[in-house]
Amino acid sequence: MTSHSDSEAFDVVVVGAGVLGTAIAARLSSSTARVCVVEAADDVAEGASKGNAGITSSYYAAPGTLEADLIAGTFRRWEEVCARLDVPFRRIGAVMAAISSEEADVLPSQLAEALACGVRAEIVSGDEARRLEPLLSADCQQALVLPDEGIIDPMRLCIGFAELAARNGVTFRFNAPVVAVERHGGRAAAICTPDTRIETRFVVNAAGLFADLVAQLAGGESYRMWPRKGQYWLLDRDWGSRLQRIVFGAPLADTKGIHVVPTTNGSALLGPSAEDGIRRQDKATDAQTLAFVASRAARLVPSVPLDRPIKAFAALRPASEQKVRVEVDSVVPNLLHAVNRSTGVSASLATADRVAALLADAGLEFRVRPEALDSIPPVRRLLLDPEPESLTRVDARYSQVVCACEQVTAAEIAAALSSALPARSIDGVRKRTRATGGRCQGSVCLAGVTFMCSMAQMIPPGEVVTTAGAPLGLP
Amino acid sequence: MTAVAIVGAGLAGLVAAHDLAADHATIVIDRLPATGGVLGYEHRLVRAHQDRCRDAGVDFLLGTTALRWELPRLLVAGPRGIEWLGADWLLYAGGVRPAVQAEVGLLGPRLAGVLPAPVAIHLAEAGVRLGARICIVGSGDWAERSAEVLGARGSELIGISTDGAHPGFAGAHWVGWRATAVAGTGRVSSLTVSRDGIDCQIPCDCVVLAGDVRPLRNVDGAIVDGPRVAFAQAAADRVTTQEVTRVALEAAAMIRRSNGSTTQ
Repeated sequence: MTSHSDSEAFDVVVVGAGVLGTAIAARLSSSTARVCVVEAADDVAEGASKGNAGITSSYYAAPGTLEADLIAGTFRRWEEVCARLDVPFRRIGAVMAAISSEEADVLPSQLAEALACGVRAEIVSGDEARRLEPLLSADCQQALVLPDEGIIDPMRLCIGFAELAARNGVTFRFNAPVVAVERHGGRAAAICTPDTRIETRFVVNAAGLFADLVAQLAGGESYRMWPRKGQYWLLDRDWGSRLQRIVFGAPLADTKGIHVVPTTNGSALLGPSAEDGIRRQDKATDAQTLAFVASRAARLVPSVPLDRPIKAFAALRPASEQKVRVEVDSVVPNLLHAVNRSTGVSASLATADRVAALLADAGLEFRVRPEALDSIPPVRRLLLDPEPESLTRVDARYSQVVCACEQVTAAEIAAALSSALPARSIDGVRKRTRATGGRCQGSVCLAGVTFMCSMAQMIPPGEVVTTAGAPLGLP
Repeated sequence: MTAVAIVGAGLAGLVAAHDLAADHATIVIDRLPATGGVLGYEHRLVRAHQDRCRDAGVDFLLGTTALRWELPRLLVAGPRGIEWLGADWLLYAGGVRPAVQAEVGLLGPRLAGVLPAPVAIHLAEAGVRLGARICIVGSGDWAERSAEVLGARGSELIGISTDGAHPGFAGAHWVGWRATAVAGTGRVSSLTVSRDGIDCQIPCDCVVLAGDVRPLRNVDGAIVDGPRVAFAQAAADRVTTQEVTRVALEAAAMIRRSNGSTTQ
């Protein structure tokens, strides 16, 4: 199938354009290393990186673990990084609420772990917790306050990383699943996708839920990934914008519990559940789990408006025996793994640094390029702009509101369709702008967004791809 | 004079505007560049009410989206740019929409081919072939309109109606069944319908959500309620023009009553 004319050569091929793959690409993009990212889906952030609660944790794992180190090396940097990459972020802090005395008993050990991780934390009374978050249940007895926790738009984070990387010359190949890895002398020599063969000196496996399959193709160490499904409710901005903090449930045996999380655009997420499965494509929601998520969330914050949800969805976290794997493969010396079950976003910056250091140790020679960009130009957004009246002086298309629920204008959608790494689907537009993602779920604007995609890509409207890579119409 | 901003230039908005115009400074705002809303610009009642509004001195700001209500001002975006309009009251007459997937309680993954009725109609009218076998969920105006447009393009139609009402279009019908889940990989491949604990799977490649109408609300600060906000939205399927008129006059009367009690 593959001819020599389709062959390319890079120093590093990153497999996977989720939050870790794009963070690594952005990190390496300021150097002389020639980098290519291959992604099976048609966009960045199509796996766990788009289906998560959007929390930047300040601590999550036991002190002294790799995961704790990576989070500690990341969480203080968000303000600076998000300003450079045009990513919505707010450090609003979290309260971990104990409703029962059993939950209250867990708080001291959580406090000790947080302090050992170098994070600010304290246990406060129920009244003090309700002062910090007035919507918190009257039944909250005590709470652990974690002021360093933040909320981020995880899709915009991937997009920011990827845009910076692309502007610095990193090559992105979408719809490019790895189908084979050529090996020479025990090393991974070339990555093969259905359309191309890419020679490389190093392979970084950031394939998330599919990392075990990539490792297997490369002849690397054997491990197993499986999907841990999380189901969520998304609630409207008119309620969500009243939330002041992240509200954590106290941890149960196997998960941190169900949370109530304000998002950076004002809506709120309830979730996630944690269900281990075997089918890596199974993103179906079910009534029983959604009811469980709703009831656990309402226990923490009784006013959650469960009668008017925007959407319910399921996402799959990449679970494995080893929660976090950032290391050189034990068999193939030029293969590195960068996989994280739950804290990919929270650990992304330090993970990228560590991968760069591991690559240098493994013999990749690269220097910083002084002329490399370290930021991308921000796009002003009508919904959050402090001076909306002035927007039309920047671009007349700001006066044309396409998505009324999320107040997304033609200017913002046009920017998403014409950036260095443009949106190429309706979901791609939604991830970059929020259009179609509001309370009417596109009833008013989906057709308009379709026509804008159609124009930008020069294809008929019926061929515009919606979610999951499927086109809107039939051939 | 008390200023009232009316969002929505359909029948409800026009009726309310005319009713209030004599003793209020009244402006009607609509997202579309024409009056009429779902009835359309040509409708006899729309033409008549618009003329009466003009005669009564109602201002119109068309092609303009209302965004945010922060008493006493309303943020709008339109051909004049983005601006704050001063207003003492917001009368919201934004019409209705079918319920979204989560409101219907339709479980399963997020799939291509599951579309709100207004989108399905719009795309089909633009020439997009949405499916060969289309399930239309609902039995009211949206369902009928969807069937008319989609059926004309040669698709096989299947109607699903919860409330026992027969969808008024030709095709196979599941009357008294509730749509409960979608399944598929990438694109929808089946719709599950349920009744009395029995589930049936209907193979299909498109599901149009056309039932269980809700008020369409998208002005921040006036989503559920808000300070000095009156809603004129008859949130029911197959609503008559008499009912729309009644709801509009009721909202206008509420503003008048409230002015009476606060200013005199």
